[in-house]
Amino acid sequence: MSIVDALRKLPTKTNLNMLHKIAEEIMRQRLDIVNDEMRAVAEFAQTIEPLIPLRNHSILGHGFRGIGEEEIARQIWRRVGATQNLLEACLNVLESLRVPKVENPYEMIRQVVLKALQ
Amino acid sequence: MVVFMAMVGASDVQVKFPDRLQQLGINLNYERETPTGWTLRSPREDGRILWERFRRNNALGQWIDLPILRLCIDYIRQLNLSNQLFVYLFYTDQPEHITYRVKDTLYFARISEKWLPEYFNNLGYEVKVERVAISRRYSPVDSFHMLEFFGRRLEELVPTTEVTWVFTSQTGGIPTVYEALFLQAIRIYREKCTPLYVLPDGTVFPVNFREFLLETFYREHAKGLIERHYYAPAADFLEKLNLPFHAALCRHAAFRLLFDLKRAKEALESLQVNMSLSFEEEKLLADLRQQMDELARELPEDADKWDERISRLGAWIQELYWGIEIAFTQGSWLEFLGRIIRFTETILQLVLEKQFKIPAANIGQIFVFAQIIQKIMI
Repeated sequence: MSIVDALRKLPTKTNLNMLHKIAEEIMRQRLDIVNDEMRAVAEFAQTIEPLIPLRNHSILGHGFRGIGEEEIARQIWRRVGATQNLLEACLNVLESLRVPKVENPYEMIRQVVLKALQ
Repeated sequence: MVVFMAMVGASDVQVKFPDRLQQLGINLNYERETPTGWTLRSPREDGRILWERFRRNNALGQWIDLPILRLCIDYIRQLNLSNQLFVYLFYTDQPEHITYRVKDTLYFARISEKWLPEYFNNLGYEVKVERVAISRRYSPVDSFHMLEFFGRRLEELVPTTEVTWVFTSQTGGIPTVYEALFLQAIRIYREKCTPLYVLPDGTVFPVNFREFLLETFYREHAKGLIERHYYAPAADFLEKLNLPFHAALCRHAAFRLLFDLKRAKEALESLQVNMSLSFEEEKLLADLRQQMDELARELPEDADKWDERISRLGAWIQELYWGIEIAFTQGSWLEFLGRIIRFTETILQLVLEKQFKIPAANIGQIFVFAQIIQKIMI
């Protein structure tokens, strides 16, 4: 099945599930061109996938379901454990993508303001 | 609406010439002589006698003085804020078993209610007095009781929305009462509140503790907000603290978190060029401005600018990550969820675009992307 056909068969078409499907198809069809970056990103996307229905049922999507840490943790527990570990997973993926490390501007602002408030 | 609030104290009603009252058959017990007149020994009993006579005989007013309240009101009158003043006078009326019952000022409050409007009417100033009893449920010597009483009562009496200025008296009465009145009035009316103090020589001056208290309050509030990355409300407090540079930084951060990059940039540009900044602040400002220049640009689609496109996507992903961290710190789980999904979308876009150099920013582009790479892969 071509990648385009795989995309057409998706029940809902969003950037996320289409891009994820493309990455999966590439990994399935041409493992030889798959690099570490794509592998890391696809794995991360896999972790996040159970959160998509949660988003869709919340006010960010089309529902009114309340979202708390418990709901998020329940969906990702099997893959990463506690919600906090998602932050570490994000940092790992940023490192895999070789996104240049920049000092966090929010933290810099916070420190300058807190210093002024001493 | 301009308001004056005061506790009626045991020295608030004084007799200027006791012998004149005596000539009229009004025998009162006097406690001590002050520069403004004689104080009464028992505000309850002597106050009742004086009130009964004054109620029926306006002329007695000329032998009476209310030096503290009169001076405070006159000070407010001379500020020319309004030609009308609403005065709230708090008085005590304790149960029979209380020792200090003799010092209760219920009759002094009645005398004030009649005397003050008449006195100021002659000066062309309208004074409307309302007496307010300190409920018997609250002990006037218990500071917690008094804080609770004024905390409830002030807002009922004078809603913040209806008032432009609130003056309170720091002179006369019981310290627990006027201190609680002062603290609660500042808490409720904030900048609108000015406590007044009367010196023994009659000079009235505003007590500047308000500035200190409000500044402390704003400072602590701003700290609490900034510690948890609530930049927009923190900016308002920083403005009040006269820290425009820091307020602008917070506005920048608040807009930037929302990816409202235009406004985030404007917040930095709003800073005056001649503002004196430390080296560290100058550097931070320059760094933020440079980051804004990069982030706010459109994603290029030309093949020769592909590295720039990838670098921009990387910067946006980094921004998204910081937002995820902040949402986590704040426990804003909906925000966290939305941002983490957008983060995932963007890293997928980045990795695919980086490898195949084809744009995949929207559904149309993703379909075209899929068609092209299918051909490449065969």
